[in-house]
Amino acid sequence: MTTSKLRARLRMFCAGLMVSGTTVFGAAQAEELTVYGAMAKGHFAELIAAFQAQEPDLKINQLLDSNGPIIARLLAEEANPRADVILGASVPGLVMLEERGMLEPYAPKGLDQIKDRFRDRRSDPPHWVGTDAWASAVCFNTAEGERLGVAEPQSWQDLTKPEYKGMITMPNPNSSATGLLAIVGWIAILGEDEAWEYMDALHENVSQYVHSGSKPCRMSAAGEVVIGISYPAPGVKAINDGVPLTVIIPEEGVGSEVEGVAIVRGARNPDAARRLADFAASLEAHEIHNQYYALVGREGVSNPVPNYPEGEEEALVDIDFYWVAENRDRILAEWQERYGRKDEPK
Amino acid sequence: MVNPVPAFPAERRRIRVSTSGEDVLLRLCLIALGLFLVVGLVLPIYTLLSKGVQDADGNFVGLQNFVRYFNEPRVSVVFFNSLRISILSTIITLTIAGVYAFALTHSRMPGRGFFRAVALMPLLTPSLLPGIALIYLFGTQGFFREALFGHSLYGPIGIVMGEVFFTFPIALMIVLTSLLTIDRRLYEAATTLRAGRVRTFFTVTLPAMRFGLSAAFFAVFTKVFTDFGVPITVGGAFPVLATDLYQKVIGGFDFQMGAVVGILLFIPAAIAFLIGHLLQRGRSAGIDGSAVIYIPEKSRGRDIACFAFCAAVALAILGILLMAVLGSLFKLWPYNLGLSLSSYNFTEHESSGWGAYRNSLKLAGGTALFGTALIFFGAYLLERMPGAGWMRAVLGFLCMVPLAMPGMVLGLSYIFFFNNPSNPLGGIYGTMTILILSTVVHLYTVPHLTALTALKQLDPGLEAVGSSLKVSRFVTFGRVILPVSLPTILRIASYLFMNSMTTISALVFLYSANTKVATISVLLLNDNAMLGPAAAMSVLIVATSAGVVSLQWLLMQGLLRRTGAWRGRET
Repeated sequence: MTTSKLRARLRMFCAGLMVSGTTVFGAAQAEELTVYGAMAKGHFAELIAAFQAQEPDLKINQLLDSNGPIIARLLAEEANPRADVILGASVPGLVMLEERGMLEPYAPKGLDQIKDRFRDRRSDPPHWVGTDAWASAVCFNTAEGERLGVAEPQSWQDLTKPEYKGMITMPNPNSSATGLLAIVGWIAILGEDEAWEYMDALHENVSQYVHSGSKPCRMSAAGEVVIGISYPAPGVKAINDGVPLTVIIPEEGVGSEVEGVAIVRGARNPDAARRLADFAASLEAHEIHNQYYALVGREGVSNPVPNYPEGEEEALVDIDFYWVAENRDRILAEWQERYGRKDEPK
Repeated sequence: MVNPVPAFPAERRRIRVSTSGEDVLLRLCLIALGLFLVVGLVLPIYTLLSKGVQDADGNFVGLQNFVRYFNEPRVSVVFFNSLRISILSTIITLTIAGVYAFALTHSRMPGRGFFRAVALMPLLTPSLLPGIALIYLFGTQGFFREALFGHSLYGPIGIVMGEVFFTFPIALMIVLTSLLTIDRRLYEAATTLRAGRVRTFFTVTLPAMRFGLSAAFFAVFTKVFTDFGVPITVGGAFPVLATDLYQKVIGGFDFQMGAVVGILLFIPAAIAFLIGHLLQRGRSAGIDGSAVIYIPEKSRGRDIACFAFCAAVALAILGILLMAVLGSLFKLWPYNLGLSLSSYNFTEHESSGWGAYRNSLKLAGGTALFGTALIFFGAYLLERMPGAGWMRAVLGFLCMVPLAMPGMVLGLSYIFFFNNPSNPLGGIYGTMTILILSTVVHLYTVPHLTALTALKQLDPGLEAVGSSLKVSRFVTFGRVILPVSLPTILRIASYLFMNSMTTISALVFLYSANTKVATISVLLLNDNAMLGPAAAMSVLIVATSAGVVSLQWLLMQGLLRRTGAWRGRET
């Protein structure tokens, strides 16, 4: 009796193994493409859907995360890459991958239409091609501001005023490209020494440094904090959802950064990866990029984004991403030294 | 399952039992268990730890990385933050869980079944859920923010509250198992010897609880020390080691430093383990096979006090859960508290949509099936097999290691080990199989302890009786040990299922484009401050786990009625 019971158990266990086995190996028939994405969710979903419509037989595996985790994952998988193509990673991250020899150069169709600033200028064919650019911005919750009796800040300098003490969040530059962008923006505007002095003053007002770039703005939208140093897209969405929020482009100007597409060296599906790179650089895809970002890679595509803060393009400060890639480790180490470990809050 | 075949002809048989075929087979099973632990635990950890003494290009640099880490300013602040938080949370959790367990087993208050069910509910939740609910309750916009008297939730207050909620059922499960095994006759003897109630408590109840409490202390301390789900949601600017590790690895791409912090996370966990081990050595022989379940006498005052205490704890647990449900239904918190189901429209909030939830079901099912068989049989081998002492001691130690093992470190080590092109097992990387493997290893210790505690209560003479009747150990295992332990086995299976539904840390580096699970969804949503959808996905996880645990409870009731009759009544 016991023997049969044990056998039944064993059989059940084996059946379980077989089921998991078939789900693991059974799906490997059709052509596949593994995309690692580090862009806004809606943007990414729309691009993949449009590409899928062109290639109905392709099985697309997609993985979307913040920029930091995606780059960390690519580095961890360096010896045995799993991704075929990277979509929407920030350029300093891509440059870092390129310098480790992890990207496959490729000139997508229509490369001549891409603005110079939006491509790898050090190599032909380029290792990466930019799709769109985004910039820093400040989200301000007007309802909370009114409740606490503080005025809307107009400039980066305003943020260091004592009245905003404990009301500001900012992304941790160690994990978030948005956080790093804000810092290199300040360095470009103020010069490096003054930028650190500015951050020392700002640090007094920051309540916490968070993991993701959109989180400060969303926290401000939820009233958890008053001010979030972030980028415009999440703020624009919150305004459209009815949150009492404004997105401010500080007077001094804002750093901007390009995000782009690149093919992984050693990709298992290089053909499909090239087709996606072609697509990302195409006019159709750029019209999608343009729904989310005012500034895109292709010449002549620039429709205004509804509810986007005005004056962004004039305020843009050009950032040399090769300089950023070179100095990234040094800046982050300095930042960590100064602000990485806030003392226990009293 | 297996009939014993003597390995040697009768005339050459020696007196030592170890020469029989059965013992050879048992040793083979032990070796198989050892292999599993080596491949699933030792080798990956070794690969990762060796990263701790290498630079980014793989050159050996000795302890340079450690020196670099300790040269960072105020590093001890983070370390002692972690230590303080863990000790405080553990003491609070153990106190509450100890009293709660006592009330459940040693009083006749009404609603004991209900209280037990409520107390186990936090097991159904991912550790991000208490954080999310606490934001709704006590955050800057929280409903009861005044209750903190102007203190901020974000920091030690939030972390301790979240951790106590999260680890309470783990402590309770362990303490409860030890309390349930007290022989009624010990109390009868105490009464006959005219010992007072207090004296009986200190001479009978407390000694019996000691093994449970020390095991629970070890389990809870390490759980808190290594958890990052709660601090990542409500930690604010209060750094602890686990979030520091997360920051180093996920944010800074700094795997060398990650390995260093991982090693630092190990040390206090190892110390906690040693203390727990020493306490356990002083434990009395335990319960023989004829233990009779204790049935408490009537005492109105005690029952009212117990009821009030349990009601307060249960209310807090239910409050946190209900807050998460309510939070998932708000249209636009905190500005529009109208109710809607839009947060549950996952395709709109997350790229994987409902696929993540389906993957979680696969993961939990696979882990429960495979893990339960492995862990229970493994515990049986370690606890009740004769001979092979040193090997059992080594494996016994290895079985404890996962508890001290931060999931993040385990996940990272799996990448380095399994994604190495020269590893013949590399094929499982990126599949559901590696998620199941990592989850079984990650969750190994607590069910292992549960199984050990239950097996320790069984009379060591059972096998001796079996062999005097000339039946194999396997037959004794199948006919006696297994049926008697079925409630424990069910408990293990549902523990594994629930925890696989709710675990994050080990998976955060292992999930691939096809195998993203629900908890990862919650983490990503929370990282983006999308509180409503994060709450909604958590609630879905809780609902699923609740379905499974109800099923387990029903099965358990039936089983106890049939198999527990010999030991009197169980609560």
